[in-house]
Amino acid sequence: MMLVIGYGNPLRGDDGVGRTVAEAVLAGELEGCDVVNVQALLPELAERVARSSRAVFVDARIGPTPGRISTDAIMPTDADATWQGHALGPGAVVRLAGQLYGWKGDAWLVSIEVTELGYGTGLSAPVAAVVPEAVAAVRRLA
Amino acid sequence: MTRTVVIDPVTRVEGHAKITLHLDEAGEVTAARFHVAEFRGFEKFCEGRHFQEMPVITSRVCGICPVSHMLASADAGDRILAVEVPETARQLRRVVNLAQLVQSHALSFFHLSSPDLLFGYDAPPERRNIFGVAAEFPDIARGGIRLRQFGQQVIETIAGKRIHPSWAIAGGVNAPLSPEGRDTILKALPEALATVTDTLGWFKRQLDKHEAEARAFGNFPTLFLGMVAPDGSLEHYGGRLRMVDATGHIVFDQLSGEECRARILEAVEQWSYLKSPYYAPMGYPDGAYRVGPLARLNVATTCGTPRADAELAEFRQLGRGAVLSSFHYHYARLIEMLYGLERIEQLLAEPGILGRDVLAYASRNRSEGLGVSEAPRGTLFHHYKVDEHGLLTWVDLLIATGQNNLAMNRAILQIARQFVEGGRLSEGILNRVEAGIRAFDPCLSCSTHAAGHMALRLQLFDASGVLLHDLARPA
Repeated sequence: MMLVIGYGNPLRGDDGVGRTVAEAVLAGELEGCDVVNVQALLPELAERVARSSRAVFVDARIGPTPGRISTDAIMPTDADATWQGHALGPGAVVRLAGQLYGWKGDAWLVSIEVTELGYGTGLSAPVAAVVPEAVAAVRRLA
Repeated sequence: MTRTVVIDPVTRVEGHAKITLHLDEAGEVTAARFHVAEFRGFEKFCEGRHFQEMPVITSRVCGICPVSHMLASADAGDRILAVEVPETARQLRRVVNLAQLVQSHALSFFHLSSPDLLFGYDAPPERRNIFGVAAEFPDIARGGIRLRQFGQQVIETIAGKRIHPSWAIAGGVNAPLSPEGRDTILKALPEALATVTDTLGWFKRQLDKHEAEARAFGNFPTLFLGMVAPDGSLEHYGGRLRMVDATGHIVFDQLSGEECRARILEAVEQWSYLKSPYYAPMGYPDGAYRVGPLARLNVATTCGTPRADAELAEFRQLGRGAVLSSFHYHYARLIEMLYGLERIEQLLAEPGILGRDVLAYASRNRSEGLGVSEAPRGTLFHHYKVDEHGLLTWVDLLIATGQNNLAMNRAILQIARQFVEGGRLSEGILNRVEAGIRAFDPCLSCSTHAAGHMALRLQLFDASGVLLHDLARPA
């Protein structure tokens, strides 16, 4: 089973694109796929990840070319060791899934480059335009 | 030559802050300050909004305790409407508040503080973190995750969303509890109870190892404030307020939110955005008081649930009168989680909990309302004044962490005096000072209405203000 985790803050413009993509994946009823939409990554997600065979994180990434999509493997990391209680990175969630639940699946990050992160809802035009392409990127991992 | 030590940022707490320690020519600590450097300003920018919007707006103050803000705000709104909230709605508010207490205490104990308790304060930072706990004590890490999930699941089941639900509103709540929802919660309770019971047992076995910290981490007499039920038992929503002194003697009892708030004044220090509330009759700073789990257990006559009452009796052996060491906030947090789970079970067993009558309808009938809830970190006051249209003309939020400010400053001074010798600093000392703050589980985003997460820095200055030593960690 593949788990898709869309995360970001939809009240900060393009930061919500990960959630928009995850919702679209959910609406498309991808077989054998579970979808989670969250504001931020927290340790609790590790258990959910551990119940999957593959975890796909979908997030906004600041970059010069709004709408550019990348798919990268995620490696476990403890880069968030000074975690304050708000948010972890995907590598930290993957690491916790392995440490706590013996998870041996693989993890991917589908990221969409964004520039508009001001207050407000809705995606900028170049980012909104690539949502179907990002959904396709997620579906290719299924 | 005198010096000042600065810890910036303070880690594993909610928000941004730094600590400064001031040393004299002999290297002895003369002063310690907890500086909170964030500001959010909800009190100001909420002016002009309608009071019925406030539960939704103010729940955004915090991602950890949005329910407490929602409930205090709804309580203030109830008073502006001047209605009687249906009993089912009052009980459901209690359940949701306790669920949030469980998940927030689990975050504080398991994710933020357990690395210190498990590895010791001198362990290297690369080991003393959540990943270190996961690697070496996976059962404890998994327990924390499951307890957090339980609390969040209860909130989602009843209030519709885990974080920032818009469920409690002036006059009641906007949705009743379904039988399926109740059964789902009841089914998950035994595992949560077992996790807390096991953790309490483990923690009590560790107490001897932390004797030095228990002696020095904010171990001094203050007043304590918390909510109690009419019979004096522990309460977190819909109760009255009691204050006790360090001997456990009752200073006042069964006061309404308005009566209690009238006895609290707020001092302002130029080096922090965090105000310093104090009990006015004793003056500033002698009127320092503490709120939160330790204070609640000190003010309550009993917990009112069997297993928590047995633990409370044992806890009380730590003090003659009130338990004074802020280190025991950790212990109190575990007992409160046990109480919260037992109380949720009791509340869900009440026949009226599935009632459909959960909202009283009215328009603005008063120009002022003060609401209170017990947030995980302590007593929370929301006080609003509105015009004839219900638009806010004045907002006052008195937050738990602010009420602990004077005690937190005294705690770091005590710790620094105990562990800093001859002006020498080490990572272990840095972490003990931080851990003294962490024991209170402060939420600076709540208490200053500030944005972002907490970070801290330790700086050492000489008598002339020259920076001699600077220990900083990235946020």
